[in-house]
Amino acid sequence: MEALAGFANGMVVALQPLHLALMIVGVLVGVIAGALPGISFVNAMAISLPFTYLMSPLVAMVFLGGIYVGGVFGGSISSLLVNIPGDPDSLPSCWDGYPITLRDGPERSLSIAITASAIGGLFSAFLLSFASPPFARLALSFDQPEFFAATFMGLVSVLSISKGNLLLSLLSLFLGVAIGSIGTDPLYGVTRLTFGIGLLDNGIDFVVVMIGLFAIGEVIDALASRQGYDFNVKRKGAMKVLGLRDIWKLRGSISRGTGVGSVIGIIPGAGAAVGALVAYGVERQVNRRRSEFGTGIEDGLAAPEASKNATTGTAMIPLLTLGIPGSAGAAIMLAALTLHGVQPGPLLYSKNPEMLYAIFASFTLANLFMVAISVLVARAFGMLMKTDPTVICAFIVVFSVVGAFGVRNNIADVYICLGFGIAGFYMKRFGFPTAPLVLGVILGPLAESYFLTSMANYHDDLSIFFTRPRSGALMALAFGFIFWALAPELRAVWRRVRG
Amino acid sequence: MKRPAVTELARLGFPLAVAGGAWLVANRHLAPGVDVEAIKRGIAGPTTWPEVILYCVAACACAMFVRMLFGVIAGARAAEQPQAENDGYDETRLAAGIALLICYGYAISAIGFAWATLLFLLAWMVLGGVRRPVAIVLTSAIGTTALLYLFVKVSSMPLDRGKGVFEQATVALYRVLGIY
Repeated sequence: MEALAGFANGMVVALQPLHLALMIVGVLVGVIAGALPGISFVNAMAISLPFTYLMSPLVAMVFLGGIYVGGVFGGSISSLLVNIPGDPDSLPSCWDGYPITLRDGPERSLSIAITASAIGGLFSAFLLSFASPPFARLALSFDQPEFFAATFMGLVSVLSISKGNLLLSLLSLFLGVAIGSIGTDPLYGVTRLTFGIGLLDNGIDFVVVMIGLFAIGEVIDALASRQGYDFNVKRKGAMKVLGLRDIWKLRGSISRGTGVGSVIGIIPGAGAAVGALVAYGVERQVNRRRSEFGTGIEDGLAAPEASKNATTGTAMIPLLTLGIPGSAGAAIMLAALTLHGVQPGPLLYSKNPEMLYAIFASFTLANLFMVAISVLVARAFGMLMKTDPTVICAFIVVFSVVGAFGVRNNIADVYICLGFGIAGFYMKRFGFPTAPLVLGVILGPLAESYFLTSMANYHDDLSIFFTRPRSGALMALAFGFIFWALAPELRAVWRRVRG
Repeated sequence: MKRPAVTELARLGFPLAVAGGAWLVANRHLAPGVDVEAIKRGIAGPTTWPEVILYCVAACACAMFVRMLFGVIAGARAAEQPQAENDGYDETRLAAGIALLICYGYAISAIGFAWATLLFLLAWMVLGGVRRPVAIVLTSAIGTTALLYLFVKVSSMPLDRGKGVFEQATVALYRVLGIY
């Protein structure tokens, strides 16, 4: 009851004109930044951080929260319209989302994505508002082995996107993990796999790899293709939020995606990308039409969309209750709070509950406004796509180059991005899967870091991943996942051996 | 139609090359010059993770090779064979596009982001077949100016200004545009 009253008061504060206006601006900035390939919403949040000096802590959080919520969805716009993910979080949206765009028009895919994202985001915002303390306790009970087990689950989800090329996908995944381990190791400070090239000492950032493989690779393909290239997919109806009947049809995937995203969100370092990948993998295993995934199955789009926005609210729970950011976006919000002298943690509930509930309420509102703003941005993006594809490609290259440079303000990242772009084109041309490689580069360093710290903290006991109840459950799920995915292959080998 | 033997051999060579490369790197190039055993505490040292992963790469590539070999022997097309998905590429334009991208990457640090981007946009549009000179020049100039405002003025990104005379030219351009 106390939480409900607090939330109602918070809503009154969040609805004040200044707060509302800045939240809408934030969501708009986030959706646009997310939609532009190469420019992530985290860049937008980092760029906006200095502007928050002029604001009160609450206004800063409302503004940055708007960018965060809008940005996590925004990447799906370019995924669905041009098959280039705006952000790593939106990579799974390409797999079934883009085929839906080609088959049923962009309105259908965007409607599913926007609705699923809004439902996931709203649920997550309600969890943030009413269930922060138990979720914070759950987050506290997670240690390095649990983080490793969750990341391992994300890695095995590659089996779900193998599309019949299991070995090739595994090879691509392991190459990605190897690329992710280039540079200084997370525990000892030793540089590995640099071949004496100084530029590689700091490692290869997954954003750079993703921009290269997907944006630059796609642009080269567009330039060299003899059949011509058209980003302007045919419209086949009006863009709208899904009706109750459609939502009911997708209820399973949306609720599973929301559940997965809500739990992944509280794991520090995991974030929306891991949430979306794991949700797609889980959906691919449990869905009735799992064998058709990758051909434009609506559940395959709804699950990762619901999941990635479901991470936004719960990523704030460890931040606000424990002072631990759950994602890159949450880390920037932590920076904004500390800049204003606000120390997030359990005391914030007793010292400043009004501000806390106003933040919760603004997250809820941001998810609602995201729907309208996303429709507008998607329409504008769709109109932009009517431009000559050569011109669009030229600007995609420039945005990608700036995006790669902006990751660490380092020209080496531009070279790496262009290198991966050329590699990405040839990988596409010869049917070598790129998505598992990106997954490996994203999750590999996390897995290594969690593995090494687990070994250091638990006396090199490898069984720790299986004997602790939560990590054991996650590992069991992951191995179940592996056997489930491998069963058809093993059966085929067995049949061949038997003659 | 039966695929020529040379192509089959080349395809079989791909996984073998990957496996050999991964094995070589895991054994020779992980952290040359570093005494890993002396640093290592417990079972997991600084090179344990990449080493295990590279062996996994090699194992996968070997499994692919065996599978493809069985496919070749059986006369069937192996499932994992990397196939040219689409042969409809203009190879000249492809080579020119890749060369242009490499030149753009190099030019950013040599002549600065502003000039490199302007030239890149011009060249890309010509290469892509846009045939209206006014449109090409206007799009490149207005596009570059807008990008400079967005990234240098608004976002304060330290984009390369080039070296020597190009740096001076970039600074002069920024002054003319009111960015500095």
